[in-house]
Amino acid sequence: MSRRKRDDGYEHGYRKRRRVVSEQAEIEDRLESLIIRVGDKTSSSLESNLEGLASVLEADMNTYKSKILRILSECPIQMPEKCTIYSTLVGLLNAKNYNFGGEFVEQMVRNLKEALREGQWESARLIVRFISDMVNCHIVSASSLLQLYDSFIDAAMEQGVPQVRRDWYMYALLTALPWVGRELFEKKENDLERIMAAMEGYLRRRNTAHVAALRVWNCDTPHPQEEYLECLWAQVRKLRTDEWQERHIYRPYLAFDSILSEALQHNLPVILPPPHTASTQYPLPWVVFRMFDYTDCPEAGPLLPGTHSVERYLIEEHLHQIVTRHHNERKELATQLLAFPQRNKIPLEYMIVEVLFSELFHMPSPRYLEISYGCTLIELCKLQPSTMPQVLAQATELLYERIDTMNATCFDRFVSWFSYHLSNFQFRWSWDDWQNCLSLEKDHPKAKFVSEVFGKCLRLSYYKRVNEMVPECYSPLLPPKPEPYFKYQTEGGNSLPGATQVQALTELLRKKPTPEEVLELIQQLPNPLKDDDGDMEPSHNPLAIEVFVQTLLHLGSKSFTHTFAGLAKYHSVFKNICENEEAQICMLRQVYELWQHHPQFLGVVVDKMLKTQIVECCAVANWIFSRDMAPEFTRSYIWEILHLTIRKMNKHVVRLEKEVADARAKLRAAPSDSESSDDDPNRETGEKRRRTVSNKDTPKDGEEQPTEEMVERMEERLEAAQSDQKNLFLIVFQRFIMILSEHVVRCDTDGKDFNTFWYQWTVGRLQQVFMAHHEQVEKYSQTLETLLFTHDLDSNILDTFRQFQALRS
Amino acid sequence: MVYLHFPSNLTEEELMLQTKYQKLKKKKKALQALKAPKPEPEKTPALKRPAEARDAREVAKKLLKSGAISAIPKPCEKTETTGFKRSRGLERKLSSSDRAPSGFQPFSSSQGSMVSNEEHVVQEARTKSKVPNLYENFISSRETDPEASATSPTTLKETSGSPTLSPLKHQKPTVGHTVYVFGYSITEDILKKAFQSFGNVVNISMEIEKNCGFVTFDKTSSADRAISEMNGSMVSGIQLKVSLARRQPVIEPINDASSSATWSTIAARNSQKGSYKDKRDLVTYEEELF
Repeated sequence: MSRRKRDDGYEHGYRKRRRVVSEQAEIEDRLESLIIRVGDKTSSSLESNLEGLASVLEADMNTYKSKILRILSECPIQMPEKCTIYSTLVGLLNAKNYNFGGEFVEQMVRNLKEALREGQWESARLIVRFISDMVNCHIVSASSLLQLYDSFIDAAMEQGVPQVRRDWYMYALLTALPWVGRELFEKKENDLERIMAAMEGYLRRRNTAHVAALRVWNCDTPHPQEEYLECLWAQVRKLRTDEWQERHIYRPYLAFDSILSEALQHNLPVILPPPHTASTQYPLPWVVFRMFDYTDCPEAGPLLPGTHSVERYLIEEHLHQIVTRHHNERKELATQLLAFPQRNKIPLEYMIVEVLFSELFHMPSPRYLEISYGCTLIELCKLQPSTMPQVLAQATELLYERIDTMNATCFDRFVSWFSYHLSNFQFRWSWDDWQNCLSLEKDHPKAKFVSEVFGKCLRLSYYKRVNEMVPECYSPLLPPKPEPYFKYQTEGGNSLPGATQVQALTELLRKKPTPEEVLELIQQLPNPLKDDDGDMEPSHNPLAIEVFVQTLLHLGSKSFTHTFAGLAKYHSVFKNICENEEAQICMLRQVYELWQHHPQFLGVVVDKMLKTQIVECCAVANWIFSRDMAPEFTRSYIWEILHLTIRKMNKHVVRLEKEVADARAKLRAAPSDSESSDDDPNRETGEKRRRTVSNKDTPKDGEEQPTEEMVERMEERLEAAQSDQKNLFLIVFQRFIMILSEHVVRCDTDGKDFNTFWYQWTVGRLQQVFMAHHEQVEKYSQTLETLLFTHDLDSNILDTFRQFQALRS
Repeated sequence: MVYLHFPSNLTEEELMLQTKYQKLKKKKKALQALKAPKPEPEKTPALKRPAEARDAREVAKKLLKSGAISAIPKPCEKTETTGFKRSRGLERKLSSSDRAPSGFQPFSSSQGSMVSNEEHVVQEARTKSKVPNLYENFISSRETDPEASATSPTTLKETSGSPTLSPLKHQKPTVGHTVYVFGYSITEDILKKAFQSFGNVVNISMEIEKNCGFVTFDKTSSADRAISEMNGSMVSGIQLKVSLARRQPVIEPINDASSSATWSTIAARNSQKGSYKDKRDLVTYEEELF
């Protein structure tokens, strides 16, 4: 019955629009702004606004139908927090104009199908929620909504598809239930119970191996860290025991009950979820972050909703949506968060802080830039100086107290955030309260946290300042003065091997010699690797590398610019003496020796060397796991370097992939003038011609048209890069496995517990590599399983890999 | 389709809550029987969900009406079991020192906070345990203001050790934690040295161009003493004018985090220029090597 002759309707609107463009556009803009702004704060009540807007739209319905349809169908998705306002508006329109209601339902169904097909999961979920809410406004019939739910349940029960897909269908249903649960409970209690039973069955059989990898803390006291679907299920179940009464959603349609209840309802058509394809990407699961409970909030204030009350979920979701909408403008975001509609009924500051930290600690990676959460929190402090800084200080203490069980990735983010925040608060903190960390061993998370924070603060200020900011007793945890360590100038430095050549090279370099002159000088150095009788030419000369690298970097140690200039000018020398991996590792060792007290400088130099291809990624990975770096192994900056190395490799691969894809597309688009077109028999001529025609309209962008040959060369490059990338991952994981297995075996023979702080850190770092680069590692999951993470491996190490695999299964 | 069956017996959590509720009832009775001159804090049940929490609030309301309790502090038991929430160092700090309300609230009279502050000390001195929230006291002490000031015990004077502090002082609207200091070419260091003897300095912010600065103490008594002793005195050859700052940031601490006050003061001051002076030497890179 809802099928109207919609083609006619569209044609009509379209033709008319052409005739009076400007005036019409103006009215359309006005309508659009009216629709978008409804529900914003005004002097008159929302009800009268809605009523007024409904009659305005009703009057303009014939002329602007398509426009109104489009805006109205987009608004609840773009502004999900106003979902009920728009459902009421559509409900009022449906009561006035039944046909419009039908067209609107069709439009929403079309949008839903499209979103499902395109894999826009968040939009699809919001559409399902909105359609559900339309039942409350008598636009859609409850029975047809249940039909939609049933088809989603079927999709969730489907066998042989990834669990992430099935989870999504379950999640979409669960998130819609708070909106429509009461209505279904009143009208279709049995059907609702049937759906709930099916959900329970699904959740009971679900595999939750991924949870361990996604948790911020690996322990459940005092607040359980629950998997998102399980938590939501508990919340919805709780809602059911409350007879589906929730107290958060504002429902303007209740005021229009008499009008809406007389409206006729539409039936949803059958919506079949599109089948799974190998290329479809589904949202990854997550774990709900919980930091506060009601005992943390001031008792005089409003009560914090419990973990399993649906209000907690609804408020959090609303706050997340505000973050989504304003994540680019920190000031606006802070204002909007504090202007939360029901701010007086909840401990808002606590909920905001928890939501922002949950985003910051989100695994595998935060939705937005880490720093954006830091500056939002600062804006919040400025806007609400009486409470916000206090809640943040309390949160910091909570996080510090619980840092023992925090995963390494979140540990790093916490360090970065806290030092950044301190830098905005004059580095003031009551350090006296944390003095207990001084008596702990240095790998204990608390001691580690404090020393890492000092290290980060050093980057945000300077040595003297950091020393002044803390009580003297903290000096064991303070970083050393960030200076180059040039051993030839220390006591006894003159007697070191190569000391005279260092002297000579320093003098030579002051005269601005050519790279050839430098090379000539250092090649005169004897090679300690050469045996007296050896006829084998050693792969590199460690002494030459030592003398050259130390001298050059020391001379350039004044600033990054000096160092970079040195690296650039004598690039050829580096290339000459560091041809192979062994030589490169030897060189990195020298860089480390010089910059051991200045992690930031070390990181920047290594980054530059990677960029200028003086060292290769694999060499950096091997160097990090080498014996020389063992004392630094649990320090964050080492992993910062490893991650920047992996990231560099990944970026390179992604860029090449894109280039090849673009070139392929271009080649396919314009085959006529490329010589290869004729010898490509696979291509269909019909398609070719059509594409050629369409291509003629668009002007050539001046770029050279790629030839088949060029593309092939690019593909070769890509393949090479991919094999490098695979190799890098293999090295990294193999070294992890070796170092961890070795540790376990050694502890076994010594009769000690292997689960030391060192072990926890190392496993945490392994997990971090999986998480931080999961998109790229995923490609090699198969190889890793067959080559490295085999069944005979220690189960503790293997678990990390299994958790990673479970992410997308 | 399988229908879901709900067990008629209660879940573990519900049972736990029930027993807790019973315990609460008992305690309430015991409490009323005691009829203490100053009612001791009552325990609230540890309820996680608002639906059940309603009951808890109902109970609390009744108790309040009956006058059995004045405020609802945190259940002590809770703080013990979840020790992570407050560090031990903090506990020490809490029992030893006053806290610093700070932050800017232009239209609120500072009288209340003053009273509450004392009340706070009183409570601390009496119970020597976890302090109830200050905001609570704020309200309760306002309601019972005359009584509070009348019963203001001597412990207060002892802890603050200030002769200027008397119950009369409450009537004066000019009480605060922050003092304004004026003196030609004063620096933060000078102020720090000169004022740290009066009490714990929470924050110092400078307006160098105007030759003045603001010093925030954690106790109002310290601020008072600083004014009376430092006004007109010479420090490092500079004559100082010290008075109460016109803008008095007043923040009621809502939690026990000890850096709360400091961060709040900085956020509230929000002096755009920043008070920190970088003392590093300028580095020059005249030599062009490569």
